[in-house]
Amino acid sequence: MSIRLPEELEVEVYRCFRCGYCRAQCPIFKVKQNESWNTRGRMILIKSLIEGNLKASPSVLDRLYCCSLCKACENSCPAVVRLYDVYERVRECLIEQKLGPLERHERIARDILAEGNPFGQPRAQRSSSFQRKDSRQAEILFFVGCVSAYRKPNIVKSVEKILTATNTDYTTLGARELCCGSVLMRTGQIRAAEKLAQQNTRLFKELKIQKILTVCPGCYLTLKADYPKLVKDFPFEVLHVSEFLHQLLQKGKLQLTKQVELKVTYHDPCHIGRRFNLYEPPRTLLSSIPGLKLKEMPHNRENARCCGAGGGVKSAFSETALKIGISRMEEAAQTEADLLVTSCPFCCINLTDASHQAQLLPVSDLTEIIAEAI
Amino acid sequence: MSPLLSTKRLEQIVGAANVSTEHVDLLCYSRDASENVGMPDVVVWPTTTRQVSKIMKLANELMVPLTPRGAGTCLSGGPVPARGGILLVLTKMRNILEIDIANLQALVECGVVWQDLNNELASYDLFLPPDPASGEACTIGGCVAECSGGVRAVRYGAFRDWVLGLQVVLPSGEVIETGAKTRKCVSGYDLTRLFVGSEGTLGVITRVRLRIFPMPRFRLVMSAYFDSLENAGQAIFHVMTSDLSPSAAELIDRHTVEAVSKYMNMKFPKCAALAIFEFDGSSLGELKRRMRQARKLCEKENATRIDVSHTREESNRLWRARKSCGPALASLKPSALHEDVTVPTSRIPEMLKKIEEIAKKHDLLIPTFGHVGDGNLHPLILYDERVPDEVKRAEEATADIFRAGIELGGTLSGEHGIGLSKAPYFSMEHTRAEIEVMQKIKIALDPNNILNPGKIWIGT
Repeated sequence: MSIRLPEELEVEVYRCFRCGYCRAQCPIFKVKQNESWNTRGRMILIKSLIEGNLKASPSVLDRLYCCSLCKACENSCPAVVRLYDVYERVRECLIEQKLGPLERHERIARDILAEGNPFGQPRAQRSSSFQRKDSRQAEILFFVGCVSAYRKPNIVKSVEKILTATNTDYTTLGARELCCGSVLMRTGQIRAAEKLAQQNTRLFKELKIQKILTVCPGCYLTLKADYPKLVKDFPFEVLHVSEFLHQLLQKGKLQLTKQVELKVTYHDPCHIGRRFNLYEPPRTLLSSIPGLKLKEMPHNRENARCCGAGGGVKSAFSETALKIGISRMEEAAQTEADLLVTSCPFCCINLTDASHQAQLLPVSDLTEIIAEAI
Repeated sequence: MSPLLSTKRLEQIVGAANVSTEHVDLLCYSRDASENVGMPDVVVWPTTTRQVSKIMKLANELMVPLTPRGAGTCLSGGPVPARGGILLVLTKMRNILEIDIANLQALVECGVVWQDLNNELASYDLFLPPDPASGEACTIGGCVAECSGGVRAVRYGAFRDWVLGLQVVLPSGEVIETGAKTRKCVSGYDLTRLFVGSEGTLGVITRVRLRIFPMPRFRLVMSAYFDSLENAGQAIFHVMTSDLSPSAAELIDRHTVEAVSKYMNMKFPKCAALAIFEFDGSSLGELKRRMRQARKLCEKENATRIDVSHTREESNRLWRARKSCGPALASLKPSALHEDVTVPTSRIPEMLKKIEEIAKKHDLLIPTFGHVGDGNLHPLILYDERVPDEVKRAEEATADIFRAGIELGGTLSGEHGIGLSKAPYFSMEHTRAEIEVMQKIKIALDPNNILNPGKIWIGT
């Protein structure tokens, strides 16, 4: 059985020249050291699937799902092949043909549809760390996201502390908030993601909010780029917390007054970095904190190495995600920074796991540092 | 593959994690950056010379074909296992063993990535001058086996000029060291040069002793635009024959400029050809003098516009665009034959004209770019592999280009190697007697013809 990509993406597959320059970028390849786990190899496999010369065996699926969609390959591809779009669409095609997703990703979808979060934890516990639990009409909705709500309560507290300190008119959806569907979108489970998009959008409209603030780059990407395609009418401005706080800083509404005597390095999350070029706002914020010194890693901004967690990799290939995380943390350690700061709760989790494993420096979210400095 | 060769025997040598017969792996290792295909029976990743030696011995005993491979960025099918058998992937041998600053040398394992070595050298203000476009990914072993060049070869020469010695595993499993730690060495036959560019057919290169060079303090880049390809070719020829010694003299034709603009999101002025020159050295004043002189020569050939890159970022961007030419062009059509025909520098304008005529004759798009300063052109023959008539025309055009190059006193390959792609044309350039000498050398070192069979000449 062959897979069928839309014409515009099939052309992209054939535009891959197999030059192999992606070998220098792919985080999965760096760990596996085997061409079939590299972008060039995946493109060979996809071409064979299109031409019907290859069965979508479990080995093939592993190669196609073990990609964090970090876009590092696309960023360096001399032919600028739309690799990210190809990967996402291939995963969707595999599901259409009932060949995918991976069992682990399917289980995540079941958990999300049952409890509204990928961890399968009770729906009611979602807002336990929220300060503002009751939804009300406001200009801004703080869309907390599953990772912060269930795994990183201090990030939620930090964001709310900053929003309160800057007199921001905001609300949350409380326990009614549902997973944005990022992991479903990334793993090709578009029908399930569509349901979430519709339900969440209905809630947004009820509250008559104008802007949606996300702390998680996965939520940001999904709400900003996917929702407008999944639901007909999506009239909301989506902001990542780093760009929003940068705006507040420029307007003088965010005052960073407390000394934070730390040397930090900054890790660019792929979904706000290479995808939306949000490189400078977090750096400007960090540099505005009195006493804080920012030291860049050799791979920064568009050349930043991925943490290894995204695209469904951490859930289905945890060991690979951990190895990639360790390699990133080793790069961070070479800067002799006291702390690695990132702007993504999910990067925080994987890099913290990596740091524990390899006994390297601690990891914080940008919002946690900002909250300390106000 | 010989039924006697079980993966178990290979696993005993390199460990189970370093052997694969999984179909997905074999498929992904069946290609390089050329159009050639060849499935290995087994992929093996050795980590030491000792392991390579044991594998070679085993392959030789069992008469199993063995093809060495680095990063697989080759453009002529060199690492494609044409006869199946063992594919020996050397990318896990990637230690930089020594950087000898006093003697300006580096000793590296074959799987070291070119860029990684240069990053390391940069911390000592040193560099390895030959710079293949695939430098970020390709391995030093691959560069040596294919005798790679790059844009700076025009001033510094290709890999052949930078290798002092090699550690080579012969098909018998014996390990030899060629060359010396000295810059000069006339102690017996020059075995180093024999292995450089031998495309993995004589032995497996496991270690390389390289000359390295102090990084020039300044680099200035100038781009000149022309209304005709021939004028650009003439301008480059004049620059090369004056005393200006550019460290790069590149030509990019209109189609290539358009493809790069489209995919790299870079704006270039409208032109028929773009020439890029780089000058390097330790005195900025001297560099500026050379660049002014080159500018005058371009103006004499009616350059329509001349720009100078003022910052390192601007220069890097331009070089990145130049290094993307091949892949950007190749992505215009489903298939591409990426040639590297090379002619004496004085014949460049004629060769450019001939390529245009050949493209017209066969009704094909053949964009051309390349290291024109050293006569090395990259015509890219674009076609659709799904249209039989186009395939035929592409093959005919390829033969015509080679014929034209050889008639002008040139060679089939300046830096990509013959591999599988150019093997059918090999006798166009070499007489039977010449080929026989090469074949005798091959038989002397590899009597069972196990090492990368099917390459360079047809019928072995």
